[in-house]
Amino acid sequence: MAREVELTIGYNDRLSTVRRTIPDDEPPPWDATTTLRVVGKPVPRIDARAKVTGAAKYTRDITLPGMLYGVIVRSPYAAARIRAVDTSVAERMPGVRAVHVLDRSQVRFQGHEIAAVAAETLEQAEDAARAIRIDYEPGPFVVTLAQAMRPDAPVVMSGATPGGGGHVRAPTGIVRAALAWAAEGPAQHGNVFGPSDRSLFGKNRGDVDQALRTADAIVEQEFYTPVQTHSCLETHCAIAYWEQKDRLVVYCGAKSVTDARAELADHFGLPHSHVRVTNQLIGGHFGTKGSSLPYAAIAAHLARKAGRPVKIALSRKEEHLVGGNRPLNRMRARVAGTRDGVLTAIDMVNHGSAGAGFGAGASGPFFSIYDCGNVRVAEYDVLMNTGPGCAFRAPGHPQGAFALEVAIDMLCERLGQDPVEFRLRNSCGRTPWRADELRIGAERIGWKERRNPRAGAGTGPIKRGIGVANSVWYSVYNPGAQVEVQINKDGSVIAFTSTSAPGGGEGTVIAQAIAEELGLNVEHIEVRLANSDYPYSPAPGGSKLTGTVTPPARQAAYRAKQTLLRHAARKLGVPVETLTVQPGGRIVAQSGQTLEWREACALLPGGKTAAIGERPDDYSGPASVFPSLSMGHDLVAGVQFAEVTVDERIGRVTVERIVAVQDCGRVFNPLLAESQVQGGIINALSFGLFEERVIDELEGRMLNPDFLFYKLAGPREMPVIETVLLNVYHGQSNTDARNLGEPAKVATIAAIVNAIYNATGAWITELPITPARVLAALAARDQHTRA
Amino acid sequence: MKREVTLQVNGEPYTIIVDTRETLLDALRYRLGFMGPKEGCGNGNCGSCTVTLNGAIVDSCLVFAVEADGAEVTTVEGLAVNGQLHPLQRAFIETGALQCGFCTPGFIMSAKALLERNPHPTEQEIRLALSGNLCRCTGYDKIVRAVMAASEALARAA
Repeated sequence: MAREVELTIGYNDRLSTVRRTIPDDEPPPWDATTTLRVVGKPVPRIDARAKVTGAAKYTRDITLPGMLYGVIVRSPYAAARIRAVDTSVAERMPGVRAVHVLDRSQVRFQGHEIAAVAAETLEQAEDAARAIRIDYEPGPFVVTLAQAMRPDAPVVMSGATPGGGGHVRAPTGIVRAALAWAAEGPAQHGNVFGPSDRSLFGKNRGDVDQALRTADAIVEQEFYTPVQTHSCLETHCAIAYWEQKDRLVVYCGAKSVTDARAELADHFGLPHSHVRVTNQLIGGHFGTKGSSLPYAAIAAHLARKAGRPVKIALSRKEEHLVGGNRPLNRMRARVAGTRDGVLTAIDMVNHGSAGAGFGAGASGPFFSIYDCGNVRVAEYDVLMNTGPGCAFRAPGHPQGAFALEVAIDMLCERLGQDPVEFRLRNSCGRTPWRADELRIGAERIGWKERRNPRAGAGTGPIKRGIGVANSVWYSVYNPGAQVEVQINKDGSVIAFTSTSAPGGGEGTVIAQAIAEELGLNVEHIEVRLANSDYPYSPAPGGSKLTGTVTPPARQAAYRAKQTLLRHAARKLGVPVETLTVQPGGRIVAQSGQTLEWREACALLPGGKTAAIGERPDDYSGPASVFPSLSMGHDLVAGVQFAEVTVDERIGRVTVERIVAVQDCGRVFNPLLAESQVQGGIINALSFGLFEERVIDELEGRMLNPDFLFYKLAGPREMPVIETVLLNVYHGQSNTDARNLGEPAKVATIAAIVNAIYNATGAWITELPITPARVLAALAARDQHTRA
Repeated sequence: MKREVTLQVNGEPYTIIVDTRETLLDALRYRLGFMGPKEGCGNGNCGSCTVTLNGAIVDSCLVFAVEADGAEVTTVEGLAVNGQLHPLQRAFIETGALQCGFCTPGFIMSAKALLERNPHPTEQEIRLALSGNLCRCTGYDKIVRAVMAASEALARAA
């Protein structure tokens, strides 16, 4: 059952028509020519009022009657055998109501969970946790790449494989898909797994060796990026209680409550229907909070023993240690080209570490940004005794783009090519709109007028420079995602779906799609999210949410509207095909008869009607299908330009301005989209300039597990950011929305580093860009000049 | 050890029994139910718990509840009057100066204190006044713009 439609696709003035076959019950798809009333407008967030008044509830803000406070006892050692755990003293302490000891004989990183206690107050639980005596036998450990890769290094986990087994934590989303892919079997040598020559984002192509032989210039450079922790302002938190003996309820800030439900049900051997996971709002996730284990499971164990609800909220220190992180990477990038400005080879070796976990790939940009026919990557996942990494806003991409895009500028310098011209020539094949983005950005930043024609050409101690870099992302979506829309007899509308609301505007875009379809305003639509009993939609990860949930939201609204119109037609005595819904919800017949929205809704039998919409595949089908997601054929392109000043006397870099030109399919809400772009940029800038998890190599412990010495960019470090959003229509769903969030974080660091080079003539190849590293790079430049 | 503490929160008097090692933040949240102030770090670094104590902004995670005995405390819940939002709250909504919203109460309280002592701050003064608050989602640009917009709105209303 399908029908054909003609859709206008493209961008700016490059529009064309395509024919697509769509499911019969799809509403007529919106395309480039559709005029919309609510979608595409800067509609304020539907949860904004609650958030500015303090009424917004996060998991930490929930207090249940009789609730106890839980504290987890964690290993201070990076590696140890646990000989014995003695809880006898703790169990007798004031206020203590339950003690739980995990079935674990080895700890593999600082912060690894061993036991837990629940008490009437947090202070009593902390006191009791300190009274639990653990007999450790500390063992050898590895906390740097160099230590981990030694042939005689102690092996972090035996029996661990990227695809499963030996995991300390179940990976989710993109990282899970990547690992399932990698499970085809890289070799293991000690802690080193690899090489892998493919990723979720591409595989090796062409003949790199041949291309290298015939190149006019080759650049080879090593790059290093440290571990970045997610540092969500709200730490992980769960509240668990049991209804009857075998029904578990968990309030948990998990971005996918359906994944969390499955994990918890499997952990306790319960049918999935006996577990409910829910939350109201999440205080940021950026890729973490994908899994409920182990903290929510521990809360549930304690709650079962105590017979009362138990809350566990991680401290900031725990969050840094075990809350997930962006893996570190040491990448050797080699790029080659010809004098006429053609990129002929991309070659990369990556040794990355997600600590006691997998997923440290960084090859996405190497496969996806350039049209170059010869690409070769070799990636190694290296295990270390540190807290496991997980997905973090564009996994692997800020690191990979840093290495690739800086190497590309090095090559341009060698070939005498302008970096913008070079990118126009080599990176606009699969994403032709990137050419528009490059031109728009160059114009805005003043590329021709304001960039130093020769790097470091300025005079005086404070040097100014401009740089550019490309980004890439993917059309990730989840077919089968569902949204239910209910219309009630008083005219109110509710949407239900299980995805969560960590801040990207998930509920708002769903409300926009429904309001547009029903002729109502956003305020009319209530959106209920993050309950595992609601229809399934995925976590807002992989930047797939808007593109995944707005089509089923619109489809559900369309179907519920058909029911409403049938009742209206009967009442008016006209054929249903003659009815339309006008803005404001008034139903108008060709005969001229009208029915107000509420009058029509009052006709609904039983007082309401509901319909469930389901995300079909992209109309052209997926380009590839993975266990937890699908990818469409289109890439998301972005370009960023940075302007920096460098004080050469003290090595301080100030990012003055960023111009970001970004595609995200249909721009669903420019206010939200701009926030996503700005947020991606500041997160990347913070990673590039300030953030680094510092681990003592001798003790194996994190030295900066706080916000005092783990430095985040603050209001004073924020550059002026100009955001240009490009509508690019693909004709792939009924809303034609794609996604944003991750793409904006990919190019920033490389653009800053290329700008630093333009300012000073010095290359930065290690992050973060501290004054010490800048001064070292300047010294290297001066030595090179003298030589 | 327990002690009795009497304080005013958002203009209302309260008397509570607290543990002497309990922070003002925990007392506000768990004894009195003011969940606007958040704990982001528990260490005075992130500013999510910002409230005013006798008119001065403080990180309430660094103040013991017993220190607030006899004091006047304002939390973000005290800004709207009879459901009418404060100009800062309206500006945050209209400029889209928030995403997850966890840091928002702290930013609004810091900004309110700034505008009370300096009704027409420059952008640099705003950035400086907010530098004790961290936001991980949306960056700071729209927050700074929201404070500027609120400053203008307050001037128009005056």
